[in-house]
Amino acid sequence: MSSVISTEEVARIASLARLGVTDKEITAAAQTLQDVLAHFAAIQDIVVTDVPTADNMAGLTNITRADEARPENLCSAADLRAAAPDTSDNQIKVKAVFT
Amino acid sequence: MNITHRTLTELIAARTAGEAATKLVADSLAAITAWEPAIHAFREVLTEEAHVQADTCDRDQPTGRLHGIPIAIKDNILTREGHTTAASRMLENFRAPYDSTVITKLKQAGAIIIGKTNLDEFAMGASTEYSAFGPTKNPWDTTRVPGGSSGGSAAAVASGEVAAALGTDTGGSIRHPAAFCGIVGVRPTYGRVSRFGAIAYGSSLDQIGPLARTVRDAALLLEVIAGHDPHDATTSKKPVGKYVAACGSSDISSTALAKDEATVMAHERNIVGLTVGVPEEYFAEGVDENVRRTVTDAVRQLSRIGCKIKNISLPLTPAGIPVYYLLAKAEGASNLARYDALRFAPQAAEAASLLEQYTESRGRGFGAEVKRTILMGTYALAAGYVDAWYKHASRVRTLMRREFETAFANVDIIAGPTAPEVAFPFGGRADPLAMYLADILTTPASVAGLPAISLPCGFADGLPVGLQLTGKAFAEETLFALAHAYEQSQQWWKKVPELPNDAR
Repeated sequence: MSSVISTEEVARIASLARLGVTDKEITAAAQTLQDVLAHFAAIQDIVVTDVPTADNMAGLTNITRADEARPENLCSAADLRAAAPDTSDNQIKVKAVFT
Repeated sequence: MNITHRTLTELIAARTAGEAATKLVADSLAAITAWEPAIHAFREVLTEEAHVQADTCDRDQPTGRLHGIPIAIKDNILTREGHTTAASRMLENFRAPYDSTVITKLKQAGAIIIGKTNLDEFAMGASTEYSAFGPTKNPWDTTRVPGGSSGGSAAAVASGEVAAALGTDTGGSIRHPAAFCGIVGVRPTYGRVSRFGAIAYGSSLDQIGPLARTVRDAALLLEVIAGHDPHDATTSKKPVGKYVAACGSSDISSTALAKDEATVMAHERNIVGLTVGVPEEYFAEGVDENVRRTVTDAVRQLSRIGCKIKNISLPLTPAGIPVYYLLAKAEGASNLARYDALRFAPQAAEAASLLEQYTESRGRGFGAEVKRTILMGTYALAAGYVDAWYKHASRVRTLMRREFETAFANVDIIAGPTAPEVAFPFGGRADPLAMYLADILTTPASVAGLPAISLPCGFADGLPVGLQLTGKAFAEETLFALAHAYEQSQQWWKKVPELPNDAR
């Protein structure tokens, strides 16, 4: 399944991923994606009928715990706020979601 | 400048004999001062913090196995000390609010975090050329790359700045730079070491592991960091093996007697009779002729010390790169979604809306390869493509795991080169696809979740060559036993790079 990847397609993917890209980056990425996927297309010939996807690499199931706060997990709120670019009134400040 | 090049085992012995932690830290900092202008292995050296810790160590009663010993940490592993940047502008000013589990374990063992080492941005790369803060250079030849992505950790160990370091391995990021820098690097079984606090790339692939000069040192460091962790649900409850014991109780000190003694030692350590599988695909076209010859000699040596050599075939080997990259980039794109520039990371303050702020901040904060990850990964997961790319790759991954299982019914260990070439010059793999292909021999074990070790097995064109041994899941003890017996029979590890003339 090798196909031509258009610059429009790359721009659409970038916007889905909330990634700012310049026109130059879009052109370069379209070419690179096309080259790389053309190479990777070799695996399309491998027959996978009835083969399950590899969804569980650790081979573990049902890892559960009680739904309780574990204080030892938590770092201080002050440390978390310190990492944020903008804070106000002990909270992380963001732009309005609905405008 | 005299760099001592002491191994972790030697440093532990020195501490037991009463040598001060402050002396060890001073030695390490002196080596760092001498080497850093030439190699740039560290993203940040924690001089102040290390001095304070060393003073504390010298006042305390020694407790842990690494008490007072400096260790370097790849800068995508969270530490309370210093910054944790993943070599990205996105995290340039980030200070981690908590320690990774491996760091907690190192600290409990008494280790001193001497600094954070350079890497390809978010561990995406095989040369450290993708670091936002400039590349690391190979201590054997500073016109060449150290490999990657844990290139800083590998160069720091090879140069003698530290005896040991931690790295992370998604598709080869510990083993590949270990091979290029002539040291030992171990990718543990998936689930053996907690990733809590490691900045995620491909979550079904990522593992933390040791880089050191000798197999025994790597075994020791893995023993300290391995084990179940309630903070990482993918960690196994299987007991941690006796990795140091697997290396046997004594090393060979006299090189003159090395070869005969090694044969005797091999008998003592039950490696005689181990069957080593040698896949023809690991020596195929694309593997440099001198690398092939060097590794073939190493396999012959494995036979000499008592292993049975069996030629095998792993026909799915060429699928390793596509399968690995499709899955790693998809998982990477998903993991990178958290960099929204709200909770951390520099923000595009002038943005008019929240959406614009996300887009602008991410566009500025991420480098070229990380952007490729996001685009390729999002593409492979997008509606209309997900079945053909992501899910297909995941099914082929199942086939690759089965292929290894079948092979391991008849062999104990699989051997081959770690990388298809020796360290390449800067810019030598400028095309993204060419860079991906550097991982051709390390991705299969990653895809299958298996443990693998790279250790020095000689030189080609004056540069180190790595022998890669891959084992069954959770069979690290067998890997260490054989790797140690081979290492002691050849003593390649004793050769160290010289400080470049202009840096002396």
